Amino acid sequence: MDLLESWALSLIVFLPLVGALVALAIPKEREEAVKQWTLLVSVATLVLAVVVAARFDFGAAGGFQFEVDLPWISAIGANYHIGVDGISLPLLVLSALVVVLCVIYSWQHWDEPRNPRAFLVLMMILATGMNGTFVALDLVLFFIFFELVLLPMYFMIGIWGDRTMRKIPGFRKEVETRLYAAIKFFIFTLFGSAFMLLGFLALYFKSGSGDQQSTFDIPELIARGHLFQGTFAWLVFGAMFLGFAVKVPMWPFHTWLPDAHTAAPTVGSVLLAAILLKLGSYAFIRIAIPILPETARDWAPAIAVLAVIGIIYGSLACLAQTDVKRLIAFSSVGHMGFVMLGIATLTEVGINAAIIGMVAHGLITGLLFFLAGSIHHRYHTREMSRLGGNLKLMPVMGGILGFTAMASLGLPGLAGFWGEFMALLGSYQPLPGLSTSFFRTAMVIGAIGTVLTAGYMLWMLQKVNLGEPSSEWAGKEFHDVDRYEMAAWAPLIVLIVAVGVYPKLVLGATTDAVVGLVETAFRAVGG
Amino acid sequence: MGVSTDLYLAAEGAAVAATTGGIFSEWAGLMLIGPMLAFVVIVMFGKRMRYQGAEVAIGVMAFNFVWSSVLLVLNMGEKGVLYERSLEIASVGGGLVFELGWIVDGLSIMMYWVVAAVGLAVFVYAHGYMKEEVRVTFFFAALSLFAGSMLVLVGSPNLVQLIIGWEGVGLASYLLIGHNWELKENSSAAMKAFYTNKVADVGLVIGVIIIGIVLGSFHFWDLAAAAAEHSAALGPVAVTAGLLLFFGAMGKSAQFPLHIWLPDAMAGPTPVSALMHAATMVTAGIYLMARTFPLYQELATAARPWMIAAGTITLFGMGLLALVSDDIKRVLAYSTVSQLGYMMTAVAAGGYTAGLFHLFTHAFFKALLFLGAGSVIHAVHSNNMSDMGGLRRHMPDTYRTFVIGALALAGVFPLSGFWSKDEILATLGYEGYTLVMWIAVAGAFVTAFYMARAVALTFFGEYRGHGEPHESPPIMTRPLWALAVPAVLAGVVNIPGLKLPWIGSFTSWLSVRSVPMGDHHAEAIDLGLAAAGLAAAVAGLWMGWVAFGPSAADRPDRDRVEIPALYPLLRQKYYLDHAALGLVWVIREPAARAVNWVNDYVIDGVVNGVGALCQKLAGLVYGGVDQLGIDGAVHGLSWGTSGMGGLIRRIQSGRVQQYAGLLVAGLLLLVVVVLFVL
Amino acid sequence: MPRIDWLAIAPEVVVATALLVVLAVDLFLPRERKYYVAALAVVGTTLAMVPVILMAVSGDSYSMFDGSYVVDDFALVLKGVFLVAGYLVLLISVSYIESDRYYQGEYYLLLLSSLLGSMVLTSARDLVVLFVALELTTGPLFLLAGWRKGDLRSNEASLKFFIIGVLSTGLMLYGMSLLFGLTGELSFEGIREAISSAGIASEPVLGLAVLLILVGFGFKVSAVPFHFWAPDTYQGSPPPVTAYLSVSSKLAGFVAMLAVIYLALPAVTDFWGPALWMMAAVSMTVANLSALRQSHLIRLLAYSSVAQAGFMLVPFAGGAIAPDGLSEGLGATVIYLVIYAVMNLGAFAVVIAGGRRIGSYEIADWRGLGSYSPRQGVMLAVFFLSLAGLPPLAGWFAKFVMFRAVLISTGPAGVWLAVIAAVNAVVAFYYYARVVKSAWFDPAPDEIPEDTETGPTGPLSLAMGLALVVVLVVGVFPGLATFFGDAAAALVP
Repeated sequence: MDLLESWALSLIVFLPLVGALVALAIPKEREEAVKQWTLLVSVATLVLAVVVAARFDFGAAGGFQFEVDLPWISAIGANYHIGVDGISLPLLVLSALVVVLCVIYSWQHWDEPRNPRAFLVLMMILATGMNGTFVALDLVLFFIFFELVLLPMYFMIGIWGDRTMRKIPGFRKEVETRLYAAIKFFIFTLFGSAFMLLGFLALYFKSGSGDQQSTFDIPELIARGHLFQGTFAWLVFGAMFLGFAVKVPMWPFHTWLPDAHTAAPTVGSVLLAAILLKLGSYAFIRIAIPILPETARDWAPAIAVLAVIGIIYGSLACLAQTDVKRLIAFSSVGHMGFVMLGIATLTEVGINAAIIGMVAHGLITGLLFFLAGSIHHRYHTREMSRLGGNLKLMPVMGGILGFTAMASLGLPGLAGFWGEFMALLGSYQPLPGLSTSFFRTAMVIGAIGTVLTAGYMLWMLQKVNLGEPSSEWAGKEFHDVDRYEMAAWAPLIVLIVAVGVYPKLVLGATTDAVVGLVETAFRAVGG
Repeated sequence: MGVSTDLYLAAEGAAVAATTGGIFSEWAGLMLIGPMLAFVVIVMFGKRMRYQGAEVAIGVMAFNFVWSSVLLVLNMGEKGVLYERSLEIASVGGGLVFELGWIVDGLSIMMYWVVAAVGLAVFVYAHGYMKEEVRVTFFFAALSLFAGSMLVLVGSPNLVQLIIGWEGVGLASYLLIGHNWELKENSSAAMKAFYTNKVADVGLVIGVIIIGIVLGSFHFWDLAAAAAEHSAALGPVAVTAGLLLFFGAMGKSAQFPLHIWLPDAMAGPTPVSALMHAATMVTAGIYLMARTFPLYQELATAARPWMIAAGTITLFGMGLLALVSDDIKRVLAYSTVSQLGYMMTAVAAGGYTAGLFHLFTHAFFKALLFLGAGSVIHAVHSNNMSDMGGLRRHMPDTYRTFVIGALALAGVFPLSGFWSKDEILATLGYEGYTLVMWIAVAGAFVTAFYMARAVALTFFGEYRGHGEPHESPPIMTRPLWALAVPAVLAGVVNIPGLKLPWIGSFTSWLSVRSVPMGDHHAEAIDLGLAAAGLAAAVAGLWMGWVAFGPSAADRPDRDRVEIPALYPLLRQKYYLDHAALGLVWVIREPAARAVNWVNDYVIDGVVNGVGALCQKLAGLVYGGVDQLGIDGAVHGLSWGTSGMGGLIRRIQSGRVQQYAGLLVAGLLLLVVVVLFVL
Repeated sequence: MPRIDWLAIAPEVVVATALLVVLAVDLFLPRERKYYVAALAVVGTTLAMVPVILMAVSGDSYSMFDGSYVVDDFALVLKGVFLVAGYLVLLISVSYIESDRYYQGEYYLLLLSSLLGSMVLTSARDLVVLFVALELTTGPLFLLAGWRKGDLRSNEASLKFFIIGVLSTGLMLYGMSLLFGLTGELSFEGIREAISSAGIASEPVLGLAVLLILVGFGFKVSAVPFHFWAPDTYQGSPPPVTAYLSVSSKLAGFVAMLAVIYLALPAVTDFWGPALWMMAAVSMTVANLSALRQSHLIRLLAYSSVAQAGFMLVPFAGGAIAPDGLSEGLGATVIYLVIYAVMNLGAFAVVIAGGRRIGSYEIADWRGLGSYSPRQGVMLAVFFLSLAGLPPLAGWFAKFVMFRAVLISTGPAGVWLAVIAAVNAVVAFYYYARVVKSAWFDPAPDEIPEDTETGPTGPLSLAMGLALVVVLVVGVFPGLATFFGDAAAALVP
């Protein structure tokens, strides 16, 4: 099956794009056909991803498999180099899965101004960008995919986003939420990635020495890590940090997130939360740390501080929200704080924590945004003061919301727990050379953050789910979860439990890769 | 994965020979999985079942009861059962492995059996109690979830699985306290319970992390072995880790000042209070302390005074609160808190067996009391003792069993409570905590006093409520009797000096059979101490009877205990709720609002400010630099002017000259830059 | 009589012939058939591609007139680019000029003249040929800018362009004569050798000469602070002419600059390096900020083209800083030029097509374009976002090579310029996105504009389609563009 070996990843990446092009050829009026076609394409992509996972040699998860390395832009030494290892595999499968679920959910839920074809086409382009980012092993290729997700998301937010007018502090006129959010999202990310690109280029030029050609190849750059030292490495790390941290998002680069998540259409929020946020943290693990390990160690305390601030800050901000979707959006700041705290420890446990944290956050927050969308769909409001008694009006949806909230607050036995727990575990004993007392302080603050997380989640549940429904909804018929919703959510629910009970589903793939990464990166520095 | 019995036996100083227990140990995990599966089955299909899922829950519980009874019997005598099985669920690098599995030893068998026995009684009772309630299906689902989580907790061979079960019972508690979530009061109580526990869990989690990293293992056995060997790695962090674990235990086991959630938790249906908030869940903290006992005994000795202090305050201070409560369930709740204080004090003082023995007996009589209270509430439709009275005649079964429970709780000879309390007193004395021992005796007096009050107000005098109260149906009273039996007899298993043939003693059952527990068991009863304890109990009962019995029925203010100085303080529950609420308020209002303000006006302010600044700058550059005061091309020009003439005029007026001038100026600028600056 | 290699000058000959045929045919065509002229011009440019391709395939290079006129890879690549750009501009022009219905023949004549000039320019290897070719390129544009004679704005545009152009040409000529005076050489190679052998590399007068020449080029490429004419002229000229101005005439300026700087003056980086560094930084910053304030699409594109000129200057500055940066810089600029030409023409094509329908170039009037004309909306988004440099549209690669060329040296000057460029790329995105936002996010007006113009839209669509294909394909396979860059970079000695 060499054919599969060499083509599977490329197909996973480009099948959605081809699907998008074909969908454009289907007349706009034939909505059903467009939907079915998109579903077919996304399911095919998922099947391929699962096949890749099934054929993946977990015994050699530390190395890249399904590798393809072809010349692409030979003049600048950029290759079409793709591959998966244990770190990227779970994220790739997650990405393929979430896209399928989004297509299913979209089936009957279209935000104004509808136009399913355009929406699905954008979603497919987004899928290509996301899948591509997770398999790219060349910095230029990575950059392209990393950026490719921006446009579709920009249009999703800008066209299908929230149309309510909002007063933005600092501006005289009110603006539509979607317009403000879309441009904010874009400018922020672009700003970060412009510097990221400068960092990539600097790495490229520095990587050439003696008879060695300069290269953008990530594994090759990792092997040449010793070439990047001192101020140079510090600056390059800083440049890449800007790009990745904005995407994660880390405090204080996070403010695009609540706006973008709140304004985006449901599926947009889901994709943003479940996949797009992971691109940044993944890049830290894939690029920044292995290529610049020593510098990463210099930066780690700063990252940890920002991560911990993010955890506390995100949780407190959640407590002040009145809009349920905005609350969920802010919760991502806290959760990604745990992911980044794990990364900052630079230990095997911490980086593992980050990956499982990413997967869990993808599943859980994705589901929460689905729910927020459906709640909005039913009540036409997301103000928590007006909701209440949801569990009575819609027991199934209320139940799922309760379940997901519990998962989100890190209930052991569900997926969300491992990321938090392991991040704290890693912080107790960070990489040698990092200040132990410093990271232990971070651990304690992070642990306090879990309490605050529980606080706002429980509070949200009480406001939305419990109590008697207000008189506003008396006599109204509410459709409980419909079958499209159920079809989209059930896999997430099952996975949240499965990963919670058996984290090896994720860690089984990642651990070897992470151990290899940490060893390679820090063996030289006496780790 | 696998059996490592040999390992344990090989450990230093194995106290008792052990068997594996055969198939009943090898498949003991079924007890953990069964209720969890029941939860899923009931949630998904319960509504379509004849008894709305109750049959599944009860069936599973009966199965567990049988299974754990077999284990209990196997563990009796001199040769105990010792078995462990673990399945790796993740290896996370750094040599750390997460596992799920089960452990079968004296301690866990006792817990399996208590959970199953009390659980079965309560489940059956609840089937009657909940007949007319809403959401019965979900109720039984949550009860199963609780049972499952509790068993995962007590069956855990390692600290990580313990956390899973630990928070699982927390979740079940949340769901069941808030069972009637339409009322804000109930949902708030549920939240309070969950949240207080979550605060405590920070301690547990960090403690587990410290132990896990230092030992490179989360196994209780490794912890015990390290403690026994006075491990150099564990030594320096032992006190910190020990106190952190204890902090976690304080939450679940309602130790002062984290007990505040437990009285509010009475908002849940009474069977819930009986099973979780009296007999089993709240003992999880005690269980944890017992499971990690070697740590405290060998290394974290410096932590013990703190634990004893907390336990002592709890056992006495919270008992006082039961005196002033009118709600029968709250009386019992404070009583539970107080009894948990006894257990904690005992374990902390080194009384491993004493604490667990009290846990064992308390489970039966406290569950019995709660179910009895539930039966009463069921009859009078009120929790308030001022709506009760004289129920002795209307509810004979309930009355009799309740009195048995009350006497057992008060510690009257020869009921079970007497023996377990006496063992605690003896241990405290033996370990040299004389002051604490006398406080515990005083606590026994308080216990007896408020139980006398509760019995008197509920069952004696005239009925003060509405309607005609009836005895509960057999499905509810039979469990009462079923629990009354162990409430009376359970003490037999650990009478000092008495060794039952074939059965052995509680002490021998409980010895964790690889590591010496190092606690003390009196070989003979200390008659003086027993007499003192009994005297305190009798005095309390008598004074309570005098103050609240039928003879005092005419006193208008007899419901109150006249302790003028203390009364307001007790009524306000030492103002701890106020403090907690205040803290929550600070977080939720000023702190959260401040953060949100910072987000919207400072961070976003900077972001928007940069945007606005760019626009301003753009205006400045465009208007000031780029256009240099020249307005757009033809804005000033009227159409009436003929083209060329106007243009020439404009050229003459200097527009183009201006451009040209700029061009030359630009050149000069470059010259200056190149020649002089760079 | 010097030897003339006819194949080498075949492209110019074809264009010149087409020019004459257009002139002749125009006289005999009735008014309503004037568009035949356009077809002839299109055929002419297409035919001219043939010898270019033949030469490129053969790989030979030709040198004539004692090396004053050279056809090498650099020349061929840029001839190709000029031809393609000219071809696209012709396509864009057809419907616009047709609907105005006057002086069609002259329009194409002038356009072809300018094209001829720029093609000669690519082969110019001495100052005189360069100067003549450059003026042949610019001269017809003075007239084209004023094409709409009845429009005051158009007249003003033309006149302003003319006066400033003449002035800058004068300065440039002065600079060239100084250069000649100092070195006694006209050919670039001669000048280069003279500078190094005579040891006058740090002579202040040489510096003055270089700067004067730079000023001339600065005007041609409309770099700040020599860009003042551009917005007014762009706005006043007929949009197809503006498209040509912003692409071909800018390209011509850059080609001349590349030749002079890299061939004649590589030794005096101390003079032109800092100056171009400044020009690049200031052009990007001032133009981008100014563009933020524009509400008129053409004016916006004018400032955009100034800013893009700034980006294109960045590799020059980089080339001056790094020892081995010259060929890198040259290649980067050529790649940028190629990509810029296509995407900017695409943008103009969309703007012209939309302007036809909407009847206004105010951004606000373009609201909802995407909803009633998705195809144009998509085109608009693609070209504008490509100008903004977003992957996977071709523009990203232009920016990429630009950053690459300046970061080749890791010195502070290079890094700072890169940072300035990066920030500017973000600022630029904002105004490009504003157009996209208007077209896609804002609601359509109540009355959806109908296309009432009668002129044929086929050529315009063809132009858009071609540009679209190029932008997408080059965006995904940028290797295609590096081919040009590499070929051109061989110029550097």
